[in-house]
Amino acid sequence: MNANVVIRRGAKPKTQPVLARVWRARMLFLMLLPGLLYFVLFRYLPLLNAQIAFKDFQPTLGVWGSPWIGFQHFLSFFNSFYFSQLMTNTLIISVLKLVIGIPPAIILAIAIHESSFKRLGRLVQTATYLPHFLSWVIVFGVLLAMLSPSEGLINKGIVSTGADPIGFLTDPNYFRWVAIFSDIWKETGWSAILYLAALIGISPDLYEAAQMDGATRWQRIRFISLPGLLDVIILVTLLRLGHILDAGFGQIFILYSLPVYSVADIIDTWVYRQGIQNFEFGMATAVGLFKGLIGLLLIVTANRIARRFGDRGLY
Amino acid sequence: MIKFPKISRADRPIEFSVVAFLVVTLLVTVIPLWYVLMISFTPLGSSPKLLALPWEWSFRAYQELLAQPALVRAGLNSIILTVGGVLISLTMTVLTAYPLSRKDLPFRGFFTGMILFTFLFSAGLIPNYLVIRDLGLLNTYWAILLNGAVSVYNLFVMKSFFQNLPESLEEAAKIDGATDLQVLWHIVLPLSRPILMTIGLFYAVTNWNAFFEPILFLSDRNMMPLPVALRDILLGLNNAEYVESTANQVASSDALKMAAVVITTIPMLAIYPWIQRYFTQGVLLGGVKE
Amino acid sequence: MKKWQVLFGIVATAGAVVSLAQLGTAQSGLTDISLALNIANPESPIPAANWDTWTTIKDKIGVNIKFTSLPAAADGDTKLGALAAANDLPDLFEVRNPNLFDRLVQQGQLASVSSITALMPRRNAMRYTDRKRNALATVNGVQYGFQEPASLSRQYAISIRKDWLEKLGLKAPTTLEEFYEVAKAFTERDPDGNGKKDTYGYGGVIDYDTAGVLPGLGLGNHFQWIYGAYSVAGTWNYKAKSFNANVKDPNYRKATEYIAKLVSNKLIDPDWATMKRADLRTRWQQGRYGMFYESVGGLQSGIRNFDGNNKKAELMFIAPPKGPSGKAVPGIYANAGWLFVVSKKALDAGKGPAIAKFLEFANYNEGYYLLGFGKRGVHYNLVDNIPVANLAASAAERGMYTQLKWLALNSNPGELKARYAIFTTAEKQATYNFYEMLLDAQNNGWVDRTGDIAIRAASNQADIERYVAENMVQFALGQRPINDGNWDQFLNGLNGLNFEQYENNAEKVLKTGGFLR
Repeated sequence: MNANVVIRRGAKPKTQPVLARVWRARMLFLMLLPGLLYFVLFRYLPLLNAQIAFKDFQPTLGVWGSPWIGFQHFLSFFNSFYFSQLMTNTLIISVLKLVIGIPPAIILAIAIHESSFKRLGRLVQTATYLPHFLSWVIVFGVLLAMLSPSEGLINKGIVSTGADPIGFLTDPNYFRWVAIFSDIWKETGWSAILYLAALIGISPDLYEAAQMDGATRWQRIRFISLPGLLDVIILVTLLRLGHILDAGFGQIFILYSLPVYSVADIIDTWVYRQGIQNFEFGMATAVGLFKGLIGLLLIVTANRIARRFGDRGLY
Repeated sequence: MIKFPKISRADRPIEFSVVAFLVVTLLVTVIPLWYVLMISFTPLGSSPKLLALPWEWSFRAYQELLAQPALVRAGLNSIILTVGGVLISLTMTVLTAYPLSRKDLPFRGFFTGMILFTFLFSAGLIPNYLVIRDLGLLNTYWAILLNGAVSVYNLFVMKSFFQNLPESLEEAAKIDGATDLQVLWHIVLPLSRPILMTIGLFYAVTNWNAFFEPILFLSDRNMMPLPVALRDILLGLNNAEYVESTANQVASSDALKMAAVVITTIPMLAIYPWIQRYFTQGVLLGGVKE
Repeated sequence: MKKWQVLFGIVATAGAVVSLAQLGTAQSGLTDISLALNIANPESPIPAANWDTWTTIKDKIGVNIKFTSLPAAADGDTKLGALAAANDLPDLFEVRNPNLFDRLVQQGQLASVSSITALMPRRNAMRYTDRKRNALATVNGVQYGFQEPASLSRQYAISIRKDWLEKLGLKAPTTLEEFYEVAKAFTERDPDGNGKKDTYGYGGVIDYDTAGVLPGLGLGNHFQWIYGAYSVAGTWNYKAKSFNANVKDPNYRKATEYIAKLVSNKLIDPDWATMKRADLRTRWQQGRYGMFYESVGGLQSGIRNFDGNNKKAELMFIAPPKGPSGKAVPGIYANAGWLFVVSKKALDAGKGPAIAKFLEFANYNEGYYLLGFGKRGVHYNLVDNIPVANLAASAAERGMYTQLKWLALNSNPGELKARYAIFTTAEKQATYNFYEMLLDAQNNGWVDRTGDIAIRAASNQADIERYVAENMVQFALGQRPINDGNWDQFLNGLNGLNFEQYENNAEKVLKTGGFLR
């Protein structure tokens, strides 16, 4: 009963003077200190330098001494020839990766967790975790070996049925799917680790109680495992919404080629070609800030929705 | 022999689907990986085969790579970066995530928002580089270790897990007079092993694969980690326009490329079963026992 | 920035103490020069601070080199970009990206090198007297870098499977029509006799490498010879009277139609538009292509693998096929090699004379051999005045000792013979003298487009490059049929990209540089 008293006291702390609350939480603040210092030094100080997004950055004058040019970098991005195409491609690839990519990881985690054959589960877990370590250059090599019209295994199968081979990597109708499914192939096992950790965190008592009540396997998944994962799922989705305009530079940059630019060129690949390779760092920074702004809008909205449905949300 | 667990009649369809799903997933994952392995075993002067027989395997690509003097040092560098990175990152992340998970932390919303803001707005390459330089960290491992010390994503995941722990345990400990640090150490952390392992692994892999940060922040090639060294070696072997002579090539460049992948992946493969143990234990029970 | 620098000065102080300690140990009478280069042999170790060659340089000319190796390719550019942004450029370094050079000049970070060239008469006379070449490193009358002569240029050619030609009873093609016929036979008549239709007439990829070639706008190096056969190789036509971008020439369309014909009849590997150079190399080495575009260095490094895969096979170079007007061109190139520059900071600090001493040292006699080939008797021996690698020393060590060789080498025949060897196949049916092949490749009628380097990138350069290349690929692949409507649409689209402005700027620069004829 004592515990209840403490919790209740903690539940309405607003009535106490701030200083008293701070004093009582002094040890928590002490713990927080290194982290806060980190964020100030390594995250906020660079943001001060990010003013070069609004400046004609001249290294000899330094960040602070360079002349202001207002929104010129932003405008040259918005007015660029391919802007609307870049936005469309980025959003489509990113949203599809989010929507199609998250369920397989959840299903995989549940399947590993539920499997009565523990060894099989462990084997699958280890195997699916490995592709995460292959760089996209290597995955491109593997994709070429599977999908190439001249020598790919899949296309050999297609040709043997009498059909024409499909240029999966060069045909604009297929490219996005190749990008999305190769991403799923590479990252599902890796993302599943997080869900698996969450499943392990669910109290075994719950499962045992359910078993006592005669619940079937499916019911246990439906009413214990999935609800137990909900928090992580929402968390991951919210965080990924914040980076919605990151459609996967490392991947697209390796996989795309001229025939599919119209469906594959994303903001980051453009920034690389135009901003980084031409040393327009001010513009690259400006685009980064723009992406952050969109992420902020999305994450605030989504968080509000999540909270309306009773979830804790991000903050 | 595989021992078949008892499965009730009602559960058979779901059990069957689970096993079928796992087997299909396994095949889809393993076949391309196997192919990568086979390419790395391809001898000079023959084409890679998906089903090469063991006596057709050539280990020349591995021999050639491992004979590079730069590789051993680079491997050590990678280990330093990975171990150091995990220690620093995990400590910092736990210490930051725990207070933020506590409802009784004053200004909690402000701190959370402040951190989330940096997740959305990152300054980018050059602004970041300038800060690292001004802090005097260039050409030291601190530049890499500290710059990536806390990942906001990992931080929020950990915070969320801490929030899901039953509050009663913590409160009971506090009644017994434990400080916040003691609660964290004796109650919260033992209960959080799976997530500590997970996040630790995330950090380890990030540091193990670090490629761009070392190139940007370090100038001394002898400090470079494995991915950079391997790429240099491969580049040298592929950079045919400037090549010296054919006298030294003993393995095809594809075999070398894939062997490099295998070499970098094996350490991460080796630590995984060790981490996996923590995914199978009954965690809560273990925690209560302490 | 000042405010927080004070705040976190503790960290900085620690750093300062370390660097002061290092300064204290510097010997008097020596000049420290920080040097940053792309190393010549990325697979070999980087010389450490205690390398004996550093000591030799110190003893001979009183210059203390502090060396940093630049990361390869685009990463190296980014690294230099970061150093430049931090105003921390090395004293003497190499710039491989013309855009970066341009930017550094605009930002006032590079030094005028005329005072330095005056101090190294031999090197100057040997390398920096070509007015046109110097123009590449000159902005508004000031020369901002040492523009070296071309070192490895024009080493590409079309290789053909001689054994396939003989087997099918064909002659090496000399015109575009013959090329088409031979490619067709190589694709359809099972030249490797394995009963499968798994060979292709031509192997080429979309490649924009700049090692001794220039890609220009469009489909890049491996298809340039086709545009050359139609007299439209490269981005600009270099004509003083009717200056124009080649894409606007009707012949450009004809050349693209020829490529589209090869593609639609499946005479080119259907992966051509996605493959990278490394994939192309894998496949010709596997014996999949009858003809392909490759450098002499690429041939040399892949020949053993090729020979193992294809017993009794033989490759040879063919001259570029002639177009309808009899024109034949293997590609375009810039008659310019590496570009070394000096930072303004270094010149202001009075390091000019030391830099001159070092470069002059690397140019002749002792220094030339030391940096270019290593230590005599250890890493190389002189045979008939040609430095021959001493195989008793490990490849890694020889590689390490020659990491700075591009500062020394000047592409004289001795160097090239040392680099390009003779290879005899396992079954002795063929012998490749790569040095002779290099000379053949270089004398195939390359088009000099050196002026391209001097043209400043347009503010939307990436979009222009994408637009032209993407449209050409779509035409070549048949995604868009080549007809008057589509072609006009393509040309009109250029207006939306301010192409006119880019064109005018190019004309101005090329005219001032004296490149137009």
